[in-house]
Amino acid sequence: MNVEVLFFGQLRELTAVRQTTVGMNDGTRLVDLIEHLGEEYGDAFRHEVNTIRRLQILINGQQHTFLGGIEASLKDGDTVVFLPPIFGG
Amino acid sequence: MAGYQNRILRVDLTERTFSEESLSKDLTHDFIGGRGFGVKLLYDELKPGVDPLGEESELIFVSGPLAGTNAQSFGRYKVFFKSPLTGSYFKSSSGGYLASEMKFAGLDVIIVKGIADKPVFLWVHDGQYELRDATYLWGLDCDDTHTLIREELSDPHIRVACIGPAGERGVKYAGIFSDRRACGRGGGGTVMGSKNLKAIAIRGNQRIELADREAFAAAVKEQIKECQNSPEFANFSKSGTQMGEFTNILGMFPTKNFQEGVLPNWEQIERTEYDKLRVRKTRCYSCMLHCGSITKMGIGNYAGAWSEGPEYETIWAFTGPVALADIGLTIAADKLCDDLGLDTISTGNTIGFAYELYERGLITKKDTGGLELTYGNNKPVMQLIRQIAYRQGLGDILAEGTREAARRIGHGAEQYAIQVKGLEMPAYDPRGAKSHGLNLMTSNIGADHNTGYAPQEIFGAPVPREVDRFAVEGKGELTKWNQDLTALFETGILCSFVPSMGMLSEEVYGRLLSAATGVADFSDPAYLWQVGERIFNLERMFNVREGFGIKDDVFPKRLTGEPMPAGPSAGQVFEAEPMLIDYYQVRGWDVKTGIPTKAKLDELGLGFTIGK
Repeated sequence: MNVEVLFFGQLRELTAVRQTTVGMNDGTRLVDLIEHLGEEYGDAFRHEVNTIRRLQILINGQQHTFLGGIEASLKDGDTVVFLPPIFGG
Repeated sequence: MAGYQNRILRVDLTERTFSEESLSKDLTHDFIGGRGFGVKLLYDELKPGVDPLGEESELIFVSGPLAGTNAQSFGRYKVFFKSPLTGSYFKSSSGGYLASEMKFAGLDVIIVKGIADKPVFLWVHDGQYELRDATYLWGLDCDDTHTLIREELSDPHIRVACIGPAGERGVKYAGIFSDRRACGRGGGGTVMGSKNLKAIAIRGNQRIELADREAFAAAVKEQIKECQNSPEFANFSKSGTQMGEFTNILGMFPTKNFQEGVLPNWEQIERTEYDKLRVRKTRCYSCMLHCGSITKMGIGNYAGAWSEGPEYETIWAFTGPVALADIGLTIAADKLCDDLGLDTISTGNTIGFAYELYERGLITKKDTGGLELTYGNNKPVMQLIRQIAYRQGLGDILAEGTREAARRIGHGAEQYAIQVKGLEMPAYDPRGAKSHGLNLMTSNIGADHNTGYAPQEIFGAPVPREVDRFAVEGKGELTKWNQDLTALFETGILCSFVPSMGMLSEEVYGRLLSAATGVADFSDPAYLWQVGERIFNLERMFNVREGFGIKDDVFPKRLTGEPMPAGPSAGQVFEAEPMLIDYYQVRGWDVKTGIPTKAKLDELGLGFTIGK
């Protein structure tokens, strides 16, 4: 299955990628996707994901914390957004 | 009392007279300042049913008790008036440098009433007041008005707040502009124009006394630390309020007059795109956030266009309603609205309303003067802005705002006016964030996002708790919490971004207030919360006196009856009834009328409003 991934803020600067399609096995969880991305973009990515305060991870526009946290199941066509804290309005 | 300058200036434009009075102890203790002063004075001063544009209406400028000090992000002023757009109580605020200059000139409040027999501007400088001829300024845009007043008075450091052609011509959503910062919403500029008051100009050199300088300095240090510790500080300071990508990710970026929630090609208006166009940073008085920017187009159709901003709301206002992400137009339209003196939110929303009417055949080329208002064609936007400001062609009717324009157009146009209490909806589709929407529905000034912004839903803010943005349960309580917290901090006219980002606690705010003024009660967060609730309820009672009630806490049917068609908020509607009942119950208001109960009013010391 394919998952669309979008990076913003310092994660976009680190990966030099705005949007990418990631092929994953069926039954993949969010934590598996993060591990996959860690392998692709290295320890710096893992470090940022673990240390950015108030990093938002959205699955199809919903906070991952309301979908089971990092254990949330992903399905084909999902969009996962990694969004460091921003504010505006 | 320290902190304040203890002086209200009254200006009667009809009689061309000035008078001064002191702040009363009851006013300062019970309402603290800022928004508290504004609502209490407006409630006491205006007769019920007063014509907002008549001789007896008033325009009240208020500075806060911490303005002009080195406390951070308190350099904002507010104007209070009965709105010609909504018929309700209204508050509108702006950053910049006017608030501190009012304090340096020895004033906390300026109350303007009457109508001048010809255009004038008010010149305030260190205890002296003058009404000067503004006939030669009438018709000029806001930038030129600033320049010529400073030249006339031979002082480039004078602070000015003025109206543009839109305010002169009675456009119902004309704003008041000070160094390209705006009290944009609700028609404060319309009221000012009706008084033939082109501008106020202020310069002062007076000191601001502090009750306990040492304690105040310590509190400021605490405030700076809290601000720097916020996770949002760095990104906000760098890029400001631009966040168009975020509401698109949530599927609640109003597109095609709130028919859809995702703008095609929204990546073209991400904050990183505006970062590339920034030529200079700007800031308000004593604010470490310096979130403002001068942005300039280098190439393309709008090469050379520049503005201070545009802010998120303005970016939306000229993209979502016409269904085209065009960064150049957002900058050019922002500057044009600033020059002509228009609120960008109501302007963009109203243009979106016109586009939908055109797409549905309710208006035709005959009505638009040949303009093709079709989605994806943003070429007419700049012309429509000018037509609105000068009340020409279709702009004459659009200048009334969507509610009144729809009433005049008829044929079912009312359902396409996306407004609450007559105030046009800003850049959030309430179907995607229920507490955020409930605030828009219940705000005492109509659809204003800043009256009770819900950062918990939009940004995942964890205080007082994380929430599911689609959930209905508990949203009454959360909405009250956000509204009262906002009112609490607006006693000092704190920039609303600061508490939303958790950059200032009630405790530290209380220490700043008590150290500045010497009032011990102000250091108690529980007392501050009570004042916040008191302010919100008094605003409500102003509106009740004007005939407002549950019938006015209502959304257009589109938001309550049409599920969001696609995107990350697909299938969502705004479940108005259960949330509104929940909200009224939490507020201690009658669930059948939406009016505060006698018990609630007595609890808040607002018994004087009962039966009025």
